[in-house]
Amino acid sequence: MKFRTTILFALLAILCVVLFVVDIAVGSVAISFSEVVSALCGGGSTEIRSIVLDIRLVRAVVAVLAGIALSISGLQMQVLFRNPLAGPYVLGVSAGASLGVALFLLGAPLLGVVASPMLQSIGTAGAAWIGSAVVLLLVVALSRRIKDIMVMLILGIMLSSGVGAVVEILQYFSSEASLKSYVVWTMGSLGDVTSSQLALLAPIVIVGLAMAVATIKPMNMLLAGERYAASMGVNISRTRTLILTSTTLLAGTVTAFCGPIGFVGIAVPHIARMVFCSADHRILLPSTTLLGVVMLLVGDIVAKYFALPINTITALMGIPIVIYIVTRRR
Amino acid sequence: MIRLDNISLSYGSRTILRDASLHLRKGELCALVGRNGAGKSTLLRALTTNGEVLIGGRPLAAISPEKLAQTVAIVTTERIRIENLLVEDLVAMGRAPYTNWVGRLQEIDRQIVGEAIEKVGLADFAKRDTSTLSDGELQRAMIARAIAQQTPIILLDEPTAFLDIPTRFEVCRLLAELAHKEGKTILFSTHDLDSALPVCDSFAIIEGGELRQLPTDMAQKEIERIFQQ
Repeated sequence: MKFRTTILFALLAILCVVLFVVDIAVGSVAISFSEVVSALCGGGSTEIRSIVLDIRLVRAVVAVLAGIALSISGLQMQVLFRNPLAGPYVLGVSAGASLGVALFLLGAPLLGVVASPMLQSIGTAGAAWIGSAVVLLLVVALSRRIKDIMVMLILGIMLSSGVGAVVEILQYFSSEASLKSYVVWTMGSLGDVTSSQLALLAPIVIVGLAMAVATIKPMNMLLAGERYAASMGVNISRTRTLILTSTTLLAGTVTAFCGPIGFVGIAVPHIARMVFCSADHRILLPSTTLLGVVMLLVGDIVAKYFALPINTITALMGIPIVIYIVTRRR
Repeated sequence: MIRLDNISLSYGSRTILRDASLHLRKGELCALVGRNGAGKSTLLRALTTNGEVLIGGRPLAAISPEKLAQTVAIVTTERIRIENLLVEDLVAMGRAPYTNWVGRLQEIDRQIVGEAIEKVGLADFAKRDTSTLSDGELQRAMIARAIAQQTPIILLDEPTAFLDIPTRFEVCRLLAELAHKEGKTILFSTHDLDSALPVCDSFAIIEGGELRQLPTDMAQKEIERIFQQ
């Protein structure tokens, strides 16, 4: 590995740790860095320790996991579709997850189904997986016929709009309570994830990430296209299945628990390519992971400081990157 | 080395080739010619996907994808221009069938990649970004990738298309060297008879849904006859 790459990885790792501590320190109750570190090590006052360990640590860990999951799923989709503008939000995968969650949160009470909180968490995640998987399969089928990047993008927007329309119909017929829980979910929040939900989120993200690591070599080959990749020994159908499953797990689960968080998946892989000057996924996978963590932690710090929804901050951070990619290609 | 006997090929519902037979020996350089849409690319694709094709006497269906990747390399008409992908990285992709699960290159792989780059005359371009290469340079890089794959058979789809006249001759000369000096079996589709005629051992001509394989001297007369018609 080049010296420059090693230095960049070290700097990013340090930045992640610093931002993690800052994210825990920032909030309605001011806590100093030393108090955060002390609480994390088991010291400090009971009150501070309770705030840090029971509330803010969970939120910061969720930010880390969401950053990893969304940015890696974006990287995988950009390789699979050979489309620099691909990402879970842009291609409608997040919208698919939203539809799944809407059907579950708004539809289940309509059918008289009342679930326990844990079952509701699992149901929400399962509905998001199914929703995102259905949209992903639809996008894959369309991308086999349509090679134009812009057409795929427009289709993604159409898919999202179509899904939005279905969700609005569901909202129209739903009760006030279920409507409220759905609207709150759509705003996207890292703070609403409970520690029991985190216990479900974390292993799924780890499994999705492990699948992504297993496809590093095929993803490098897919840069040259499926035909070349197959001629170099890549099992295309197995690789595609692995990537799609991983993307569904990563993007679907995070969307289920944190709501739709846009522009992380599309922007972060491009930042990684620009910063590390590499197309090699042995470099891009870890760098995208670290940069995804940085983006979500920064987003969460700003969101907490100004009391704004996280998806507005990530949109403001990601949109300039998307504009840069589109204008540069023209 | 590579053989197909009485195979019919279709593109969608249209039958492109009927009872096509082709037999290429070790070290043979063969040009595949025919009109646009005659089925040249379909035939080249079939040689790596049709289970009835015989490679080294074994049916393709019986060869694992990993083993096939060590036997047949392809060069398509697609231009692979990827930002931040260096020429040496592109050529190193050819080593994929021999590397571990993350594609880690060993010293011997780097040596083979370097030699392949040198062979196509791109030694000064090894550290260049593929997105900055001209069509000719990129085509040579793709051929270097196929060379680095170290397969006994190379199939190329119009490797001289969109190239200037000197580069076309250069590419054909390189293919001849690979076939005649290194014993590789090479089949390439082309419309460029001027560059292909001096170097090829045989021609596979597709005309009216039929494939005929002729030695170069006979093929020249046959092609002239087709042109006159």
